[in-house]
Formats: sequence, structure tokens, C-alpha cells
Amino acid sequence: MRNITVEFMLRQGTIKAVENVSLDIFKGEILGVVGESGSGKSTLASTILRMVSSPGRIKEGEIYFEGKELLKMPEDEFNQFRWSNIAMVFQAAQNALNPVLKIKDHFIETAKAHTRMSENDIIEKASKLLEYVRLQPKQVLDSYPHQLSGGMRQRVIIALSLILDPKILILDEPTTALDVITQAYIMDLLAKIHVDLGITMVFLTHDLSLIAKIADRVAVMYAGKIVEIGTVEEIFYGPLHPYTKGLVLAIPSLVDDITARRPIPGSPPNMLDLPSGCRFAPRCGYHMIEYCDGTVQAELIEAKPGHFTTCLEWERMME
Amino acid sequence: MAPLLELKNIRMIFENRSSILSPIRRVQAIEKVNLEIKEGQIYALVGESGCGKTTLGKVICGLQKPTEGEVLFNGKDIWNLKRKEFNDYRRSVQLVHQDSYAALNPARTIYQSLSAPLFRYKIVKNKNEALKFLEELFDMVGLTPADQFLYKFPHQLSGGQRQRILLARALSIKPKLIVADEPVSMVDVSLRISLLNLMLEMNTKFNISFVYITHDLATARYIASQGRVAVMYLGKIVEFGALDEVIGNPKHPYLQALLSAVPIPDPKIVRSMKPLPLKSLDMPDASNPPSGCRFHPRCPYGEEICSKEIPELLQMEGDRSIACHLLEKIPKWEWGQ
Amino acid sequence: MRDFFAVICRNRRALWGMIILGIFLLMAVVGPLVVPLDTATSYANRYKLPSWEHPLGTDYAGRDTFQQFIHGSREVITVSFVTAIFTILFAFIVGTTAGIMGGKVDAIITFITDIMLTVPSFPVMMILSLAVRITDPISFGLVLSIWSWAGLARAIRSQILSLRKRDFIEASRVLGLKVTHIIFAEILPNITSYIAINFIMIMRNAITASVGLMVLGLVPFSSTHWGMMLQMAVGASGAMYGSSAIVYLLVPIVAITLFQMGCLFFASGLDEALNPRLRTQ
Repeated sequence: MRNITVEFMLRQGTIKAVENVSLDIFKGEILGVVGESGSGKSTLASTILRMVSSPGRIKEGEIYFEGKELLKMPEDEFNQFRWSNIAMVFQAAQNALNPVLKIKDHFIETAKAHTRMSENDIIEKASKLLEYVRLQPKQVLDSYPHQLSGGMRQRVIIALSLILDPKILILDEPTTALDVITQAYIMDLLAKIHVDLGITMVFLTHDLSLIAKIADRVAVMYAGKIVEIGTVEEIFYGPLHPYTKGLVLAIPSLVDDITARRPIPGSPPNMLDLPSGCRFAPRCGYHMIEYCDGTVQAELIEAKPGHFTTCLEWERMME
Repeated sequence: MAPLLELKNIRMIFENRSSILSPIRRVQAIEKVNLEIKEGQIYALVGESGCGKTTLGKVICGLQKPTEGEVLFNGKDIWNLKRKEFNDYRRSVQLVHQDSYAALNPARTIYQSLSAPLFRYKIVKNKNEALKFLEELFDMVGLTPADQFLYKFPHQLSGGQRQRILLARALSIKPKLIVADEPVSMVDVSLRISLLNLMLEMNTKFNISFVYITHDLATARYIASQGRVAVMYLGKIVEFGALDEVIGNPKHPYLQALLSAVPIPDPKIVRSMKPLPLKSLDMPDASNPPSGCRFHPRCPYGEEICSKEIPELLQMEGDRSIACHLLEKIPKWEWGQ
Repeated sequence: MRDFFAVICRNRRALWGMIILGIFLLMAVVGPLVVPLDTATSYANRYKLPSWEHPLGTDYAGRDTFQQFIHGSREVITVSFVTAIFTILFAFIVGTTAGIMGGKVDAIITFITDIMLTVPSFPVMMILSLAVRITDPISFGLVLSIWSWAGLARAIRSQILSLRKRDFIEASRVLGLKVTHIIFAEILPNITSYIAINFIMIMRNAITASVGLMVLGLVPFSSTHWGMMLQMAVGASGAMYGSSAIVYLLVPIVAITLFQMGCLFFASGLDEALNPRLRTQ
């Protein structure tokens, strides 16, 4: 993805939910995208699938996939392309199932929209996928969504996203509203799918512990921009951006030293009134007046091979 | 020392039916819960959705009358109190909701919403006194300058700010106990600790007891590290005790499974953790709970007695209690096993 | 208050609505004080077309239409206003009682309102206007409101039922706030926009109902009420067939239409103006 900017035109002003974001996704990896509310991560994911809902619109940028530029593809070609190449599991997806359709009809509709598979073939493939996610195909296929529990619906959604063997699977907070034990199970399932099918995954969440569990590389977003990209070890053990470092410090866990926890001061960014320089500056402990408050938007610097940050003070963070 | 509030043999059964022709569905939301809340102590009430923790919170606040059992405040059942004594109880036990937007009147300014209880209890006599009081209160909860918040409507403020206002409102009438139902789950992760720190401060400064209801064990550990934790499953407390002891040495299989499943924000640790193998992933339906121990269909150690008899919450040393028939047979749980 | 007008002014339609209603209000209050009513008949002058002397022409008895129109406006507005006030008062009391008390009281009230809603209101009003002697706008308003509060009462009841379950009402209970405070200070502000919009709409319906009853000759207490003018125009003057009486016929019709438009347009901006959440500032 190169120079993606997505704007939302509201009566009070224009919000740049995503501003000038460039990101590489490598084949076979699990990329974690971390961000709190207002970070723009969900908008970024919708952009890949060209599903930004109005009043938002993709102002500029390019997305290259297997030699094609996705944002310029004509609508019907992209509709065919979508789901069979890149699939998405939405936030609170368990409620995205059509309550008046049986599960098997969901599979049939989705597959028929993109391929010419026969109904029998679709059911066979769906059954295999449902078994893969440890559900009983006979029972589940004939059920309506409300007859299944939240955890079961989420597994159905995952199976549904895999029906066309996509190359990339984007998951936006796939485990919210699930209880802890089911969440752990789904995370293990995703790791298994990744190993068995070799599918590339993009995992979006605000929960750093999920990222710690599953991601290979991590991109951290704040106020519409990516502020750091690195491997999961680099992000947790050697972050080079004050926001990342602040996040890791602010999250309690079951095994940490409670007294070492520190909140990030200040409040989340007001997207209508962003500071002109570094957007994290008002809350930053490494803040230097000369350049952090400047008028130039920081770009990602490759501080170490493969480890990018927008913080100009990154060397200080290594101490 | 006598407890501030005591729940005795609380049972809560909800009955509903979808239409006049369908059978009545009885949901046993709480099954024989006993809990003592002491002054100045912090209690974490932990469980997943459907375990009855929110309902228990409402029973503590007097919003829900239990089907059976007593809610004793200063030794007397709140549902039998005379008007004046009941008012005392009301003032002493407050609630902070999970959804800060829904818990504030959208058609009233923050000042209007927060001054109402002050006038009701005659804590202030007029607008000037109310403003002064609220300024000091807001200063204490970190919302300065106060006039930036007092004249706004709830939708004009951020989630974290609203949550602090909810806490301020609960504190304004000087309660002895605050029940906080998932107070940080709708707040940005980077701000959660500051809200929890605020509650801890209120606990030490004013000796206010807290009942912190959550599904998130990590924040429960943060806030109740010096307090007690009660773990609930399908309406029953299955384990209770000092938090560091319970988390350090969990005895009930459900708690062990829960601790194995909670992800840790540390790649080296979390990738070496293995889940406790449970026989079934799904929570049973609350309207049709399993016989005997409610956890037995999922429990890896279940034996015959487990499906026949409901285990009582038995006290071990001190405060610690566990509800399990096979206590001695449950292996010790280690981190990262 | 200032915010209220700011929002109305921003919404073009609402602004026009407010202006139109304002003009009618002015006409009703000030008009009859300024414009004299000359009831002397002068058959030679009848059905005159609009002229400088008679801006809206003359009626079947040679009387000035404009004067009648202005004088009639006061009665029209009064009747609508009174109807709206009575209706809302009844509906609020009944709806709130049902919503707050629940149980048997609620069941009984719902039963009554159900019956009232199934019986069409206009025929009831017709019968009532025969049975009751209507001599002034206030009793007219009362009669019109007797069968019209049921729908609004039900609506208020459901608003209250849904508001009761909201977290902020639960919080009010835990804080120990008194029931009267909860009803008037917590719940009521959330339904003011609802009530205000209904107020305007009831006024609008009242005009139609009152005019309808008068055209049918059922409420013959005033000769300047627009409904009366219409009745005379249709009945006594064969205005629908003759051309020179057309102005006499059109005046009340156009006025009523304008008034209704004013009501609709103003109501469209009211929701935003009274509901702080919808305002984008």
C-alpha cells in the first residue's frame, strides 16, 4: 500500500482517518496492526477491500497486489476479485450473518457470487472447512445464526472467509465479545490455519496481548498514521516510538510488576483538531520542542533494517 | 469487624416467556451466593458473560430484588428497611456503569446531572455552593478545569472523561461502597490504568470499598492486588480468596482453564502457554444448567459425583474457599505449563 | 434559547415554517385590534373581486372578506392551540401514569386507549359536537381533544417504557433521586422534542378537524372562523360553480394550506433544535 489517504467529510470539518500511509504485507506472514480508537486501522482495512463507507472516500493512494493496482480496477472486476483473493472477517462479525438464512445458504450465496461451483461442491467444501474449525457440519449447516452461540458463529465466519481460498485474510478484532476461553481457542485456530494453509493474515486489534501471541510483524497506528513497524520482538522488547513504548507500559497483565505500570498522559487525539507536527507530541515524554512541534509530518524512517519509526528521537529510546 | 454489606444465600431466578403460548423459561442467574464485603476492601468479581456477575452487582445495589436470600446492610435486610434507613443505604452504596454514554442523561448538561444528588441530599444549598463543590470534586478526579466539562452535554465529551464523571457522581454523595461494572472496558487501553489508579486512590483516601466487576483478569489483578477475588461460573462463586493467592495458586479447574487462556502481552511468555484441555468449548445454556457441579461437562477431571451433587463453597485456610468435590485431586497449576 | 433559534435559522425549511407561523400568530393577536369588522350587509356589493378597498373581495352579503379573514384567524389559532394543550396534557398524564406504574394500571389504560384508537375520531367528534353545545373556542378545543389524545398517550407510554430501562435512569435510582425528580427532570427533557413536534402536528390536525366540522354545519357559533367562511362559500354562495365568488372560497383554503405547511416545516427543524445530541456543534 502506498500513500493511502482516506477522508471523511463531516459538517464540522474533514477528518483524515488515514493519512499518507504506506505499508508492505509480505507473503505468508501474520501482520498485526495495533491501534486504539481513532487510529484509523479499521478504515485502512476497509480500504484494501474498497469498502470504505460514506461519508468516507479514498482520496489518494495505490494498492499493488500480484502486479495489479487494486484501487484503479473497474468495479465489476474488483467484485470478482474481492473475497476470492482477499477476504475479511469484520468486527463483531457474529452479527453479520443474515438472520433469515441458514448457514449453508450463506456459503452457497458467497461461493456462487464468485465462482461457478455447483451447490454440492460448495456444501462439500463448506463441510470440510467447518470440520476444520471443529464444528459439526451436519448440525451447523442446517441451523440459523441465532441457534448458534457467539463462539460458534465466529468460527462459521472464519470458515466462510476461507471458502474461496483467499490469499490474504484480514481480521478486524475477530475476538471481541467472545469469552476468554473461546478467544484463546480462536487464536490457536488462526495460528493453525496460518501454518496449514500458508495464508497471509492481517490482524487488527487494540489488544496488544493478542498481537504478542500471534503476529510476526507489527504496525502501530496513531491518529491516522503508522508510527512504527517492526517484528513482534522489536515492538515489545525494543520499541522505537514513544507511543508504542507507552502502550506496552500501560497495559496490565497477569504476570507483570503492577507498580511498573504507567498510563499514557493526556487524552486521545481529536481528529478534527490535530497538532501540526507529530501527532503524539502533546502526550509524549520524549518530546523536543524544536522538531516535534514543527509543521512537517514525520515519515517512517528505517532506524534499523526492517524496523521503521516516525519518531525523530528514536536513538534516545534505545537507552 | 462486622461486614459493611453481606449477601446471604442469594438466589436470583428470572422468568420469561417469549409469547403467551410458549413455556416459561427459568434462568437461574445466581445460585446460592454468599459474600461478605468489608469496609475499605477491594473485591474483584470475575467471570465471563452470562455468569451472573452483573446481576449480583445489581443485587448489591438494591436494583434487583433477589428471589431468595438476604442483602444485609449494617446487619439489616435492605428490603425490609424503613424509609429513613433505606435512604441511608441508598446513599452508601453506589454504582458506576460500563457504558458511560448511556449512564448520563443525554438531554442534560453535566452540571445538571451532577448537581441533582447534591440538592437531593442537601449537601449544598444553592447553585454557587454546588459549583464550588463540583469544582473541587472534578479536581480530585482529574477533570480540570471544571468549567470545561460542567456545561457540556455527554455526547461532547470523550469516553474516558465521561467515565471519570460517572466516578465523580458516585463519589459526590460520599458512599461507603462503590460497585463498578466493567468501568474500563469501553475506555481506550492507554487510559485504563489511570482510571484504575483513581479508584485505588479513592479507596485509600476515603476508605471506600469497591466491588470491581469484570471479565478481564489482568485489570482485576491490577486493582484488587491487595484485595479479594471471587470467580463466578454460571451463577455460582467457584473460588474466592486473597487475589495474589488465588491467581498464584488457582485450585478450581475453571479458574485454571481461564488463566491458561488469558493472553499475556509478552511474546516469549504467551507463545509458550498451553491451554487447559476442556471437554467442551461452549458455555451451557443458563436456562438449562447441568446437574450437579455446573462445570462438570467441560471439566477435564470430572468424576461421577460431579454430575450428581452441587459442590458447596468450602472454606479452607482463612478466607480461601473453593467449590469442588475433587479438591485434593486437582493438580497444581503452573504458569506456562 | 439562543441555540434553539440558531438551529432553526440554519435550517431553511424550519425558518420558513417559523416565519409563516409567526405571521399567523401576529395576525391572530394583533389583527382584530387593528382591522375593524364591519358586519353591515350590502348586497349590492357582493362577490366583488379584490380591490384596494376590499383586498380580498366581498362575500355573499357584501361584507369585506379581508376583515372576516383577520378576525377569523384569531379563533382558528385559539381553537388549535387549545386543542393541542388539552390533548398533550391528557396524553402526558395518561401515558406517564401507564409507563411509570406498570402492572394493572398500565393494562387498564392500554385497553382503554386501544378502544379509542380503533374508533375513528372524526365521526366521534361529529357526534360530540351535536351533543355538546359549543359556544366558544375553548369548549370547541376541549371537544376536539377528547378523542385525539389516545395515540399520543400510547406513544408517550412507549417512550417512557424504553427510557426507564436506560442506564442513566437506573443511575438516578441508585443515587436515590425522588420519583418526581426522575419523571420531570430526567425523563421529560428527553421527550420534549417529541412533545413539541406533536404539539405542532396536533394544531395542524385541529384546523382540519374544526374546519371540517364547520363546513358540515355542525358548529355554527361564529361567522368569521375560516371553516364558517368555507361553509358559507360552498353552501350559500355556490362558490364552486360561480366564478366571482371564487376568491371567497379560496381565501380560507389557501390560508389553511399555508398554516399546515408552516406547521410541517417548523416541525421538521424542531427535532434538531430541541435535541442537543442531534446538533453538530
